[in-house]
Amino acid sequence: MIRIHYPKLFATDSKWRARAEAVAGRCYELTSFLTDVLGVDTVSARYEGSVTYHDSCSGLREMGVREQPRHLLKSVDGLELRELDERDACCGFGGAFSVKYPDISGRLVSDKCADIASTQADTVLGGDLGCLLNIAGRLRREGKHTRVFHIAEVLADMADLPGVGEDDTS
Amino acid sequence: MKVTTQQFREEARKALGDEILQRALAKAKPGFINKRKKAVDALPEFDALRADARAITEHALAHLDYYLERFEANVVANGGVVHWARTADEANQIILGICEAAGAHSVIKGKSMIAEEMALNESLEGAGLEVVETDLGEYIIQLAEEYPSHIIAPAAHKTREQITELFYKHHRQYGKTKRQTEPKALVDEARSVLRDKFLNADVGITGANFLVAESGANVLVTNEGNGDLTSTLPRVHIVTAAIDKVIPDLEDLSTLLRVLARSATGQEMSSYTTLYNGSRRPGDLDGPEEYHVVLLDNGRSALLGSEFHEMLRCIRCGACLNHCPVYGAIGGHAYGWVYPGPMGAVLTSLMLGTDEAPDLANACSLNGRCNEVCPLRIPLPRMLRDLRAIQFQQGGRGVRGKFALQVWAFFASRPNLYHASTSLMVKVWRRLAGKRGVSTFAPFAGGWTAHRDLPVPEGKTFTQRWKRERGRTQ
Repeated sequence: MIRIHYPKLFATDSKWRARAEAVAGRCYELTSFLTDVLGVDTVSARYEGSVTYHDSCSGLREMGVREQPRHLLKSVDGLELRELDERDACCGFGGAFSVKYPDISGRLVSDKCADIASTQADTVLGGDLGCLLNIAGRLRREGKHTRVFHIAEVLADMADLPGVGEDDTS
Repeated sequence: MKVTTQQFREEARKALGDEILQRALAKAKPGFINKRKKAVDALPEFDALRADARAITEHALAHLDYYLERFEANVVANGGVVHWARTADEANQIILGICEAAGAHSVIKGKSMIAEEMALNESLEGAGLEVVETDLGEYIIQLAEEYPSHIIAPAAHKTREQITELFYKHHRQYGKTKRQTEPKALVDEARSVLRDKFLNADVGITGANFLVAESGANVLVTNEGNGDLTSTLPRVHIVTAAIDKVIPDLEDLSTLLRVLARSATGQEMSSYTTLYNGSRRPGDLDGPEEYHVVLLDNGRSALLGSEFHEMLRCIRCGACLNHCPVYGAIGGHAYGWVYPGPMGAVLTSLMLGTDEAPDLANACSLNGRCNEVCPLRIPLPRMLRDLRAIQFQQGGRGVRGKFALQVWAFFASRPNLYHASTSLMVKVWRRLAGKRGVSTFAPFAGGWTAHRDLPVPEGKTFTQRWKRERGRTQ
């Protein structure tokens, strides 16, 4: 949103355009910033389990984020990556779309959850909290126990806290 | 045809609950996606071809008047007649006039989306003519009294079992009394019924994939060969084409055909590609006695130079439909008019107006996959966004959404208040949820909880945690 759409939204606004462009130029998707800008190659983190990765549409198609998160996940100890069948498919979130067209959105996210289930991974990671909120919400509704984390939590070795939508068992 | 764009939500809900439709959609989708991918992966220069295709269509649109007149001059030189129609009604009248002058009783048709746009069948049948569709998919839906649900696979919503029943019911009059269940047997049966129709028709009407200005040729691609029979057997051949179909020359045609077939069906070339250059010449063994091209505008010229100009690049390959998750979930009929999927959402909104089709621009998650696969790189998501902006500015819809945004803007432009209220909200929410990780109730967002739980925040906002963590490390 900020990186791609701010400059367009403020394109004809003489007062805000420069600021919009400046902030857009400084904004990155996290894994893209770590790998493409900082040149991070490995992280020191441990996550025991099989995970699948959900590519968010805006990351994938607007910002070209595809290999970066996978590259970083390779160096996480104990983690096994299992790819989804339909890696390019939208999870059905789409912001207000999910509330305005709940039946269509609900169908898309249940398809996504079926794809997740077929990988038999015990965790879903992603870089977009909108998607993760949607996917976690649907997984819970279906009574599934697949864990959901933002990829940052795994890379920062902080996945010992409850995942998205998990009950507090402490 | 009956326009049902106003009932989009209801039709979408019905489609989601229609098990037979869902089975048909689930079967069609992976085939289209995988075949296209295979064809594209096998051609390293595909993206370069796409860029060429885009440049060709942009050039043609920039000089549309010139190329259309050049096309007309060449059709006339080849012995044909060109008719210009501003609206669908005008085009229908022109075609009725031609049929009447020819003393026609029966008409056969090749697949034409423009004819669907004009509701040509209704117009011809209203005048007492017999109309028979010859594209297998179109033929099936004609028997079912429906309209296309996909721009290149009109009967994509039908299962084989349904087709068996349709043929059984309608072909008995031709002495075909057995229920055919195998695809080949079904095709053979349709072919034998259609053969007589081909031989006895007075007029053949086809669409056009491209119009070549340089030679006056109208180009048609099919996988069944029905287009060739439709255009060569009857006495009169009428081509219906939109004005945005014209391209400069045969070189350009070759580029466009290469991207079209790969994007549409994953073929390198469609099975039949035919260039029609007019009526039968002295010494020709076959071909029509009369050749007419009806050029239809129907609102397209108004898009030239507008923010929706790029929509005119569309070559109707259907890739955006095949990759659209919304189309994949609800099929084509829910969109309520001739053109479904992403290209349909834009075109229908433009041609019928957003008042008539209020949902189409909104029923999209803006995931961008249509833009990614569009061979002409038409910015469909951007256009859908622009259509939403137009609707919003016109103020007809979204009063609730507008109010919500105003409330949000009030807080967002006051950072201290924003932080205080979000941290309070997060805390209260956490309390209410107890130890549960999700809630099944969400104020103002019943749409969300209809199909999902709502994960509950963990108790602190990001800013609160950031401050605490930073305090620890410094």
